[in-house]
Amino acid sequence: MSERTEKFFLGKGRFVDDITFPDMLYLEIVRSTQAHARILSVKGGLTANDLPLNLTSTGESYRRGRDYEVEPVLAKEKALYYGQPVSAVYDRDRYKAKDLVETVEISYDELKPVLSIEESLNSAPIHESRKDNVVSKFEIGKRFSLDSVVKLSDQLYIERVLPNPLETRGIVAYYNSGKLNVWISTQSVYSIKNGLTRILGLDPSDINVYQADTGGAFGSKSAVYPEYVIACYLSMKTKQPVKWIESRDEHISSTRPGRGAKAELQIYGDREGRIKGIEGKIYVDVGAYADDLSSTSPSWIGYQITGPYSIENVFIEGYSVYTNKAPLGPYRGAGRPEAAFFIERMMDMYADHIGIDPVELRLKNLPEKAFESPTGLKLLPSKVFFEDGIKKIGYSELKKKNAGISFGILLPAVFGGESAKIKVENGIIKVWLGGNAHWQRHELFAKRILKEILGIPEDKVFLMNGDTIELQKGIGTWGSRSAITAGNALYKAALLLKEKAQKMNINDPENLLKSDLSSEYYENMQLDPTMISFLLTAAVAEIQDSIKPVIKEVWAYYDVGEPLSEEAVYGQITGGLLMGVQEVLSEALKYDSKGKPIPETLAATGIAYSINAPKYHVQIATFGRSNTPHGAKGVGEAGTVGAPPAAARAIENLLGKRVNRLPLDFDLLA
Amino acid sequence: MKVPPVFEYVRVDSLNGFYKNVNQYSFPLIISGGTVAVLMLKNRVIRPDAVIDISGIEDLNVLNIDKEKDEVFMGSNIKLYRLKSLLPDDSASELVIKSASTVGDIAIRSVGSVGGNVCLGDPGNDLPVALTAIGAYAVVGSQESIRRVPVSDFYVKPFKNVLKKGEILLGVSYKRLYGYRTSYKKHFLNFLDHYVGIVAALAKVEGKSIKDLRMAAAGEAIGTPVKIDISEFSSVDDAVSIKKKLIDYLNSLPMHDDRFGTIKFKKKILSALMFQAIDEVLGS
Amino acid sequence: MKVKLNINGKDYESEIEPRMLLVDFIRDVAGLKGTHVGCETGSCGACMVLLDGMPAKSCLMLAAQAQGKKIVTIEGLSAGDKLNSVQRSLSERKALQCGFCAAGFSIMGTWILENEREIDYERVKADLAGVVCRCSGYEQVIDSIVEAAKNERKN
Repeated sequence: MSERTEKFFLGKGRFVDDITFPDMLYLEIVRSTQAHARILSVKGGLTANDLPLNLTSTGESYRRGRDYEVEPVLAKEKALYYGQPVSAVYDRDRYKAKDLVETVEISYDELKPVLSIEESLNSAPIHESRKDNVVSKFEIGKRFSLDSVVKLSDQLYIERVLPNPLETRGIVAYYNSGKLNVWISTQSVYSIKNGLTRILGLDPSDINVYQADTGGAFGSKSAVYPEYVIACYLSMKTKQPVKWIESRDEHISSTRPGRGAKAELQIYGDREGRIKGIEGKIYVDVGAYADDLSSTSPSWIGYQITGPYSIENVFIEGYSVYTNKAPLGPYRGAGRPEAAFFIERMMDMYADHIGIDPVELRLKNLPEKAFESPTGLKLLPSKVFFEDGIKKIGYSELKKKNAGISFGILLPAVFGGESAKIKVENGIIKVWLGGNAHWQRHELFAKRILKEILGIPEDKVFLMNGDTIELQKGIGTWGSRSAITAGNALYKAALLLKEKAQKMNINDPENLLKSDLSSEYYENMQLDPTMISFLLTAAVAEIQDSIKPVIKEVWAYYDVGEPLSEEAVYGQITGGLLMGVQEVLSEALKYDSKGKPIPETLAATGIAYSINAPKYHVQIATFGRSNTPHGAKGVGEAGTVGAPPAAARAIENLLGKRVNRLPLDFDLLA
Repeated sequence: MKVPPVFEYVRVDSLNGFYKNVNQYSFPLIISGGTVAVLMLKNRVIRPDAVIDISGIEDLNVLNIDKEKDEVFMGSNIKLYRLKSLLPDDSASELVIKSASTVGDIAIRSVGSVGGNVCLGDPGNDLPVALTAIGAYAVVGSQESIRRVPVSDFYVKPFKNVLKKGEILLGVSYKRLYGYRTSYKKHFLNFLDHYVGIVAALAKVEGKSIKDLRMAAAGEAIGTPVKIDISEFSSVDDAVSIKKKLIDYLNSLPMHDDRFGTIKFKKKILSALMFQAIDEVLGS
Repeated sequence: MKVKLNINGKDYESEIEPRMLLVDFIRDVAGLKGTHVGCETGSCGACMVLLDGMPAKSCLMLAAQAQGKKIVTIEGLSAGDKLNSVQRSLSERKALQCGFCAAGFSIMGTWILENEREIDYERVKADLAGVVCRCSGYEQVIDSIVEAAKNERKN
């Protein structure tokens, strides 16, 4: 079968819930029904007394030594968010396991929940050992003092958003013969393995992690979660295979949502439109427990606050704060959309204030040559790209439709680099990438690279699921990094294989396929300015049924460097654009006054259905090559970065009211 | 994964079979299509001792037209998607079809039944709004007798109808109407999620003279369907006054801010739906 | 209780609890894993099957309710390893990304081709309203089904 998704059409996929073993135990989690409470007693199931471990690992970040509270696997004396795991039950019968959940009795002493950034800053610490709810504080850039003619301020807010992949999280853990084998829906078998190894105190050679077919993730499947640890622990204890599959309402209450950021910004400049400075405060609501990624989120947002512009003065104070909500995690974009929304909303405000066209303002502030922002972000000049793009999307016509425009950048998370392995076996070529694909169609670029370098026909190349035995070291798929990092590793692995083949006098694809050669390559990478993509997005809004503002059409003129697969890139762009648009209109995770998530169903989270899709006009552009052998840049998160500010502006133009909060408030929805 | 609690399952193929079985259980749940019932079971918001599946009762899967009374009877087991091909040609039926064809999505309509959509009592159910506007009756059967309850009186409160234990909704009947314009409008925040407001209206207009004007509304902002009395208006030129009365009516309703909207938002949505419906049925 | 269900033309008989959901019967008793559980509340269509020719969400039905009906799952759409026309079109256009929605779009797409008279972009877009794809933005899926219809009509 040469087309990877064909197997899904035949019902032959192997998602984690499709994996069964005899005598398998079904694990179910008993979760806190309180957002903030002292746990007085727990009667039933496995509790923190049986399993006193903490989640001392994170998915995508590598910095250690920060001062924050990590989530315990099972809640100990306090429950700090609705949905927090408190106890675990299991049974051989899946339905009976669910019945057992109801038999566990938990008694709580309710406390007042802290449910917003404002409340967090003004409430007693939810972690009693701390002096307040501030997890971390950052200063980005350098303090400045400007005597500007124009000085504008605004408060901007983006509500939390759930990743909501179509397939929820799940794991099968099977400990036998001294080895823990784990099958999991994931973005990185390495992240899972590293985390489980550390948390459970295992020797790395005693644990193998295999990626099941993964039905999307959008950031939710890189980190180690309590349920994974519990499943592994239970299997190690009982020596039986253990399966845990998340239900959608558990995803809503307990999977890490993203966004949840607020900015108070001031922008300075002159009457002609030269922006001189941007300063302010950025807050991120990290929920009840932090990790490296969430606690550093404000600094990552601040780092890119200048967007593609050459703004000479930047000073941002960043704060990550605790609340009684599920811990924050990365959601497609992970800081990039927040930064883009914040700066682009200020740019539009500025353009309106001095009375010039918003595109003209933006073009005026693009660097003419390479620019290093006071935050340390290094950018290549992009004026030519955007000027070109403006023409290509037909801006003069779009202006008549009151389109909203955004100029953005996409910083791929290349840190850590990536690995790749190629193995020739039985007349076909198998490829393993450290970055485990879970919707990105990496097989398309894998086939292309091997065709280009080794001349192998595409139908002989198979991208395998992530596997820590076949490929021992790797990083993961997130942060728009794969084309660059995995592409780079695969390219070089292919060159290595070619070299090996030539040494054995194998100089053509047919003979290569008859061999049993293999090669492996790993390389760390650093972000350099050539890897940054530029994004031009436009959106037009209209009123539907005379009541509801919707986005009718979106244009994307996106720089992807040299695209490795146009089909894959196109699909990722439209997927990201739709998510970005929906985040403006309706998609959000809101909580009631007791801290319970409001959406009871997937539909209630506000995700986009087919009838919500705007018309897409996508143009894939190449504005320079990245500093990699194949020249591709990242693209996965592009739509979620570019669409929200463009859509917000389109709605603003349509309604004549400022949009500074996502999703739209009720007074903008009718 | 959500799974229902334990219950017995009984399938009945006749009304007699139903009456015999229903009294053998303390709190049975009756299902036809079950699209919402099964969800409620999965959420464990109901824990019946038995689920009685009436979908096999063919007597409830019929559409009858009483030629004498010129009344349509829709049996409870009729699937929603079939209504557009089964119902006859008249204005009341047209309004019923308009509402039925917007329930959920195709997969829901292909399984969901008339009876389920009428009995549930969810403020977001579609049929009851149209049925209230056209003055339909719920036909309720028990072992002893058959009674008719106006659909507008069929609900005690959201999710609670007037059926007593041992009773079954046999179907819905309504008098056919001719020469009316019909309108069915609704608004949701998210697809397949709750409806903020639903409005059904119909009007018979001759020239500029209004012969009959009816409206019903429901949705999260209102609750189970209410009949809105705008019968005093006699001319198409009264549209402005009609709308003013509707605004006054909305202002008289108890509303509060909640997840479905602020009071201001709910009123804006409902008034927009009502005004659109009025414009459509008066042809203005 | 004993239950016998006809799935893809084959009878499957089993002793089950009355509360067993149709999707679980399909996956765990019949062993057909192509039908998925996505949301459990009928919001996503990942569990879509055909019930007597009409699309139905199998997570919102008890297995017992499906007795006496003809059930077709995604596995029943293809002949051996040969995809049906809708699936071929979706596959050629590379419309699916993670693949978890395959059952929803295959079943609905097949139903559309067999039941709708006029098949254009807007019609397909509206008919697909109950099936979620989080990855793609829907456009390529809709285009694939429209194209499959065009090709089928030609032949």
